[in-house]
Amino acid sequence: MSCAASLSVEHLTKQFGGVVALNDVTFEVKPGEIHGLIGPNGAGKTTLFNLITGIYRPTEGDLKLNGQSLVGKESHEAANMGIARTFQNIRLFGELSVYQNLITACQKHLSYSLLDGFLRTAKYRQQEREIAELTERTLKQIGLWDLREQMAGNLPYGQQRRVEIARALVTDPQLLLLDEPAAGMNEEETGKLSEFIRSIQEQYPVTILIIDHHMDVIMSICDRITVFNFGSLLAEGTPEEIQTNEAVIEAYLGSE
Amino acid sequence: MLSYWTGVATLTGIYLIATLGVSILVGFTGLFSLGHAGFMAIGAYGTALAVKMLHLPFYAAILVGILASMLAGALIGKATLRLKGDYFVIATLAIGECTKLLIENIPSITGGARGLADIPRKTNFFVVWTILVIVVVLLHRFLNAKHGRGCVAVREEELAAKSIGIDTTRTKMLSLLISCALCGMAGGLLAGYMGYLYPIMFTMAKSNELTMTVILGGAGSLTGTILAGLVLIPLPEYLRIESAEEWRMVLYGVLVVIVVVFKPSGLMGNKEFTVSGLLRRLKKWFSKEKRNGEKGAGERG
Ligand SMILES: Nc1ncnc2c1ncn2[C@@H]1O[C@H](COP(=O)(O)OP(=O)(O)O)[C@@H](O)[C@H]1O
Ligand SMILES: [Mg+2]
Repeated sequence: MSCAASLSVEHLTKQFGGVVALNDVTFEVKPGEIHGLIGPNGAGKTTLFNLITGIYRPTEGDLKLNGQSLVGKESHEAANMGIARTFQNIRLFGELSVYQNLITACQKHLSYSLLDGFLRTAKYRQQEREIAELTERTLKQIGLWDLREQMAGNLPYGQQRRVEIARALVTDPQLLLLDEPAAGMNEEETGKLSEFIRSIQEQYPVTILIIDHHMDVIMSICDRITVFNFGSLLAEGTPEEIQTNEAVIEAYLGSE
Repeated sequence: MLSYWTGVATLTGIYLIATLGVSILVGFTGLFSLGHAGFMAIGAYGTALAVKMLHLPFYAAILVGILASMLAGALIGKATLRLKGDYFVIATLAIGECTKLLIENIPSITGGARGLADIPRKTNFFVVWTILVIVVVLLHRFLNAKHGRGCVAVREEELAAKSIGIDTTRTKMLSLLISCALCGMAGGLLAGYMGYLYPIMFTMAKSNELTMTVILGGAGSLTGTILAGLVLIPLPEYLRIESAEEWRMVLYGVLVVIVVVFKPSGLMGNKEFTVSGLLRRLKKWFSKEKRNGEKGAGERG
């Protein structure tokens, strides 16, 4: 088991041509906390996730996981350093079963070679048994065991979100990035999701950074919140502080 | 008569080995190819020339053919797999055509369009089908291990594959190299079975057949590829039409249209054929029939 990671964002800037998606952003995510990231559409939240996971390179500034720079790392390298994520528009292995989605994501735990796979050596069998156990345990913990045979792409939206989170969890992440996990959910579903995310944090030693527009979710589960507006950092603080912050209220009311 | 059908079965086995290679690339990794007959040609001529010029024993020569094919694959893979867009497909098309042109235009080595004859005939039905069975077992194992699952992840959702730590460029390269190795080996076996080679054995039509057989069988199903291959590869022989080879492309075209209309995921979809699966299917079908029957009776009553 790994332990929860810290993330520091240092003077981070990202430009797409003339668009400044992120502008000199600096903040810290502490080990083991659930950290909320909010802000109007186009504020640069998803861009931050894409920078952390190596999909984009920063124009300027630095990102550090446990003090180690993430700049220049490829996506798969970032994943292997312990960063897992979900996507704003769900990206499951749609034609595979729920079980296969998870077992595929266990590849980080497999150190056997191509030849071990061809020959089904003791090493292959041992490691395959371990990931089968890990997958089973995770599916049971998250309450997806009964759906394991279902094709992921055929599940209802809410279940797909859970599968995507479960798939991220079997990689044994130190930092979990959730991009609008409650999008498209009704009040009852968001309530369940809040509980679910909190239970993850209780069961796994992981730092969670979550983007969402559902204030009930964010306010009820986050230890701390960072607010973006037009690519810049607008405010930072506990849920209570953010709820009473003048600038935040103005940005939200102003944008509506 | 018997030897005629043994011949058909042997050639079917050889082309099935190549088709299985293409299946890994096209069906399981989702990378389209329009030129894998080119890799067969490299394997075939590589093997034949290694026998004739280097005087290597046949099975060592096949290894040369396989390596040559993999080298060509590695080159186009290195150049194009990192890029977004259709560069890779275009590169496969290019390698298919260039290989054929190259063979035609250096007659002093390859015999040109008139062909390369007098290759020692060192393969037969048993050798080919033994290799085929071994290939199927190994590919099945590959697909149920880390690297094979990585290929499927790349096909399904590349960004998600990266996000769980898969080096997608490397995975695509591995898949390409496997397909090249198998096509190269099939080419070598073809050389050692026929005893002669012509560049027109490796046309673009042949490349398309390889890819289409995979798609018709169901992209992402090893058994689908095998079933489709067993039916489609020897088809002109069953039909016994003089110009069957020419009609073959028309037939493939018609089949593709039928499949696209009625079952876009191919014969097997991405499922594997299993006896228990078949039984389950039949049971479901019969119980549905029965229910329909009862419903009909109920309506009458
Ligand atoms: N790949 C891209 N190319 C060009 N512009 C982009 C790209 N990705 C994001 N942007 C722009 O960056 C800004 C921030 O987008 P995003 O991070 O998706 O916002 P959020 O997730 O906060 O809604 C937007 O103006 C968006 O159009
Ligand atoms: Mg977003």
